[in-house]
Amino acid sequence: MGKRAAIIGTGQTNHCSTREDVNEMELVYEAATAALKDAEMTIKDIDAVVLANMELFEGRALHDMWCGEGAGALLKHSFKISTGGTSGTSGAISGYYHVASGLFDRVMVVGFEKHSDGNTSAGMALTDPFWDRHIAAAAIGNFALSVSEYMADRGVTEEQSAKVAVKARRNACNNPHAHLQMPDLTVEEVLESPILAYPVRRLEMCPQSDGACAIIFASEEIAKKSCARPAWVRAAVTRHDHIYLGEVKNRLTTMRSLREAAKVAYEIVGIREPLKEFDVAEIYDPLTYAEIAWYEALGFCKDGEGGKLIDNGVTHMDGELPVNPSGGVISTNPVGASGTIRVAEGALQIHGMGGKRQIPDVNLALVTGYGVYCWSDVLVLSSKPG
Amino acid sequence: MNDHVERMVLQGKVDLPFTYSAGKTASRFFVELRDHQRIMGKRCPRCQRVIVPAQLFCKECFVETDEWVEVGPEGTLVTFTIVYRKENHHPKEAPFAYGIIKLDGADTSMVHFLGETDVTKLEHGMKVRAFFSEERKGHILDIECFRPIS
Amino acid sequence: MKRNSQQEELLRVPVHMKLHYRFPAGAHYDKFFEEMKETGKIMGVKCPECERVLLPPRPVCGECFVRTGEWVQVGPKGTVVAYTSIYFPFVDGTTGKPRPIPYGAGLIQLDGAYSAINHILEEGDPEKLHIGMRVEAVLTEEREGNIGDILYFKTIEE
Repeated sequence: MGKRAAIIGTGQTNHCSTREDVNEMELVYEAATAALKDAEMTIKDIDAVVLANMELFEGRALHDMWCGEGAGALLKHSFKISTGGTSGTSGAISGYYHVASGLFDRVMVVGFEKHSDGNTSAGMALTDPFWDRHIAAAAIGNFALSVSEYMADRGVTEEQSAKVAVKARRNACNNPHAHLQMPDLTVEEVLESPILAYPVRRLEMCPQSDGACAIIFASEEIAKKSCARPAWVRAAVTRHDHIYLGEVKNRLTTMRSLREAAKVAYEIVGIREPLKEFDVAEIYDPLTYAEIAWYEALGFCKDGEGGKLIDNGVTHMDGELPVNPSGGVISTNPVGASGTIRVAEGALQIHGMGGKRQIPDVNLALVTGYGVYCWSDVLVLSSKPG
Repeated sequence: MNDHVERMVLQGKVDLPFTYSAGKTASRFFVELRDHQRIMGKRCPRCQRVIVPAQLFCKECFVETDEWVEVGPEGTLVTFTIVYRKENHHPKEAPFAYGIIKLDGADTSMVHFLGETDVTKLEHGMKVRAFFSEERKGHILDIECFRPIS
Repeated sequence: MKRNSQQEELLRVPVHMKLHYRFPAGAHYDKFFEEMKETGKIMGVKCPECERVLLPPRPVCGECFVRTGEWVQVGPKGTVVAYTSIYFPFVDGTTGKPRPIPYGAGLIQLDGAYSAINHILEEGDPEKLHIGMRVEAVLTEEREGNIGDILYFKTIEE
């Protein structure tokens, strides 16, 4: 067991489709300075920096070289994480490890993506050249394959999927940083939106956003001294599964990596009934169907009952377990930052700084990350150091 | 393991378009080059350095720069090289020279082409001057190169 | 570069990236593609421990972490375990141009194989696609020894 560590500050840019007023390094700078302000620190206080970004979306792999100075990594201990969609949560887990190791006291993690610089199809140029590259139709095509399996397997309906989209975009209206804020969105509108890849419709899919998010982790002594309500990291688990789509049966239904990561995280914290015990969840929902599948994989309900949770409003703002008060990835998706935003939003809820999206009395928050169809991160944040 | 000889090599290709936002600070830097043939830096309010090309924030002090300052067009050649080997990925056909130039009034240096490829005519510390392109597009190559002045 | 506003001009720099790579196939993939090119056979490889027939033919079983052994012919018929029809124009990362739409894609479990293969379906209409449907690989006449030697999977009646 490592040393105790907590999140004592967060900062986000406002996320949107194109930020032409800044380049990517300046976007990173904006989030980093916001987090420092929130934690009442200067860059001199930071011992180490972790950068998280998706490779090649902006045509670059050395994102630490391009953007490190924006995070104040100049002459500091610095690392980069690049694990697709999980980059942001894996970056946060890395930040946590730095402090939990006892070697660093104050660590800043910045996740970022400037989608408008490039094209997500670039990500497909990262797929296996022998088996995948000729066929892969960006992320959406691969999601759609898994969704068709999942629908057949679990009987999830198009209406249930559309309800997730409506919940997300309405929640996003309470989040000043969110990209897609749609207060009047209806299930009918979602179902009338064009099909991108059968059965996935445009309004069921996450957008492509420009944005960055920074988190500051601190050791126990510093956290207690400098933060009124630190968000303690009680568990941080990452799991990867086979990458080739055909190598895992019923990928979305089984989602072995998420189930395994959640099982281990719950064991560490001692959680038996996640739906009852968690006060809020910020989960990485790349599309509506995945959110329903994650309800099942995370043990919020029995397998096959994910659709009922959304039907019954269990995961709405006023439900038993509000899921994604921020609007989630479906509303805001700067990929490298999407996971970091989940962690920051979970921490904000514990800090009690969620503004209009604040859930009352949050003591235990669940955060997940998702990447490359089969990688999962799970973090448990708490108001109590444990 | 078997003794099978590896034969197959798949020829892979990545072919993708990108469009990079310059951001408001670099945009103004490029617009000044294009419209006024001026090279602009920005001063850090904390360390007082004039940073060239202009940057939104000072990377040493981690604060936003404020004051715009015109620098150059003359400066000092800090160091240089001449590329003789021809490569497809090079920005120009070899031989070509490029160097690090500290413009008059600037506290940081910038990298650019040199308009002189005769190694005997280049030396460290010599004075150089920016030579602007006839057709300027709001790009770093609106400065065509720096040339030695006597 | 383009102009975005009259008050404050914000510039964007276009860059086209073209990169070339050489990917050595390794002994297992080499054998797979050579076999398909020469004989039209699709071959999987069996894990000696869990006995699953893997396609792609991995040299190591990811579950058991042991070297795979025996080669086994699979397909050319198989079952669709997941499908989609692609309706949005996206940039093909290998050509830099949008790929023609719509088209069908699926995960096909070839007879005799454990894992499914990600490939194109001849049928692109989602109304005519369903999980469990039977399909058969259609190979090109002039084969080059890559996954494109399978043109697509056609729907079959049995």
